Amino acid sequence: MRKMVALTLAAVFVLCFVSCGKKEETEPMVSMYDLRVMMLAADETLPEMKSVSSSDEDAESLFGYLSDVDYSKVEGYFLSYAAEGDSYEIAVVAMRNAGDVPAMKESVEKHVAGRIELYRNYKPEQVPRAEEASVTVSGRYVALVMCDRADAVLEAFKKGIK
Amino acid sequence: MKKTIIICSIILAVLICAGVAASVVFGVAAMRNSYDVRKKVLLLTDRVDDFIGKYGGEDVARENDVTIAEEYVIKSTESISDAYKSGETDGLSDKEKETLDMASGILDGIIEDGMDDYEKEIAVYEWMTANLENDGGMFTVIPTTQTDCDNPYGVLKYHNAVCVGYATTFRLFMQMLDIPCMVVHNSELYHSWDLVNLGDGWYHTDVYSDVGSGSFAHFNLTDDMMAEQSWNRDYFPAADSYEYCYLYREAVETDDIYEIPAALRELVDGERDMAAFVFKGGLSNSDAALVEEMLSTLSSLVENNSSSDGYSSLRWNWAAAGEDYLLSVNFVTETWEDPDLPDDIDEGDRKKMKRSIVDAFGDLYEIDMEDDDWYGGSSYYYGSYDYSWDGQMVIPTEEEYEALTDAYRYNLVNGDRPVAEEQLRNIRIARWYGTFGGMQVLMFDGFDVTDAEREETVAGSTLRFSDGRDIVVTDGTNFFSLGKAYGLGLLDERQIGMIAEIQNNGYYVEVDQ
Repeated sequence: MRKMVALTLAAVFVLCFVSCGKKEETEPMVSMYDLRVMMLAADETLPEMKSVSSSDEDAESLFGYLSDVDYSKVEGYFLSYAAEGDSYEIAVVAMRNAGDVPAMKESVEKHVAGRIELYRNYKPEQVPRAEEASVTVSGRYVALVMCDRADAVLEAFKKGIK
Repeated sequence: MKKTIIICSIILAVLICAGVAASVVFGVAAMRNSYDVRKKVLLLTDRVDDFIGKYGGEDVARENDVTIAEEYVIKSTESISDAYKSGETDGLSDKEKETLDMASGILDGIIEDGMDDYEKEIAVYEWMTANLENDGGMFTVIPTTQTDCDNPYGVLKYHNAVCVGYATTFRLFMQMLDIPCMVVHNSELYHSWDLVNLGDGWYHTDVYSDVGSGSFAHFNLTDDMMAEQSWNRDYFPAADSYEYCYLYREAVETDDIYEIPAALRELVDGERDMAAFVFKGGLSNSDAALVEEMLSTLSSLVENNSSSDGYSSLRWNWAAAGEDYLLSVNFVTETWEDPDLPDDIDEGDRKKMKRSIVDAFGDLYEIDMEDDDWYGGSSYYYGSYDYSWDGQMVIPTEEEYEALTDAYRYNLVNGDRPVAEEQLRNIRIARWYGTFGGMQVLMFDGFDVTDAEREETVAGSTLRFSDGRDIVVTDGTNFFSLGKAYGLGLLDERQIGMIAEIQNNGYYVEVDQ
């Protein structure tokens, strides 16, 4: 009996070690609305912006204008863009799985490249700002920042996701 | 008992070692995954071209069923043009029939008997550039373009189009008139225009780029003239003929470059929108450099003196036409790459060039040979604005700032009672000042005014002190509001407008203290 108890305790003890080796990302997603408000407020030079998000009824089809990644891999997002079509754009996507972040980052970069090409053909004065756009990854979040005060907006992003 | 304990200890030790080993393996894997995704901020500037090359749309060797700007599809309209020519409309959908009716009605109104293909093409081009508008909704991330803005149905019904709409509508008209025409798309799949064949060869026509101006800047161009774009030249035919190239046909043969300013006076007077010059046999580099400087100077003059509803500036384009050189000048056009020109210009030539400008524009802009201020244009940049001052911008020192503050605070008189000092407390010195027509213009930044008296009348004008920026004009003794200065004729409308714009947009020179 005592042997069995000892062996059982030892096995449990070993299992505890194993379970410490890998930590799952279990932090809840931050509010996309709050994050959007924070980030947009960080740049007071932004023009009139329109926004869509994962809260919208047709969120999945609207997401397609930002990325071609399978929407089922996305936990939440918001996309804010200039109402008049100028090169101002702020977006954050929260992935369900951190392993899908690189693919999302790549698709957002592809989106930016497309915007640059559009401006190059029709609104060349918008190209410089678009070329300075940054795509930032933090944990399972991918952020696109295209505006004049990108540093401030990125700072707000980092604070907002903590 | 002792043996049992030893056995259990060995088993326990083995299990513990296995557990630790497993933890290390899983932990390293987790750290590596974390490191991969926690990357630093990535700037795209260096990667844009690579990225476009890697992920941009793949160009296709076909004319139709091509998607432009990821949204708009080039579709064939041959069924409509065939129905127009045959008179048989049974195979058309209701939408196609309506398109045919609209297009036929337009052609009936603009095409006359006896017109050749070139004249017909001009008639269509002029109608489209005068009656259609660019759909700006294509630029938003989530497009808000009108339905059918990319095909003739929507274009002709709503008069609203994106480039694909212009190109397919123009092609429809050409095909209805039995003039061969193709819709070309650029290699990046972000723009489209037309190639039209007038019998002797193909020409590029980009109606979208000329809408609103009708300047013919993108009408019947050769491949060289369309060099700002790239397209599949293996698939689309070459455009290397000049017979119907609009610029070439309309250009005035010019032997004397000093005649150019006089010719351009017609543009400024509004008698026409575009002027073109052809230099037979080409142009020497020194003459080309002189013409460049001439046009830059004229462009500055035009910009500095343009009225609110007038022309913005001169735009000019160089193009090679065989051994000849073409120069087109207009007010709405895109600038092509200029030739690589030498920096040295003979002073005698420069003087002669100045004389030619003074002879042509001296009465209009009050310029003469003695005064150098107008020559070459003087510009100061504030933020993203380009302002030209007819005087000189002065950055005051700290002492000068203090002196100006005192002058304003204590000398705000002109026969009337002085402004009470307590109304002027906490005035910060002008953040910038400059001169306009001999008047100093000061912009004060920050007032602390009493609530009771926010206005004070001085010298018959009302100086409104507000928390923020305010403009005061002074001749060194008397101080006037901006409005009063204008009313007294101390500053003209253009100067008032420039100052107000700087004030409204908050751009001003920060003093380096």
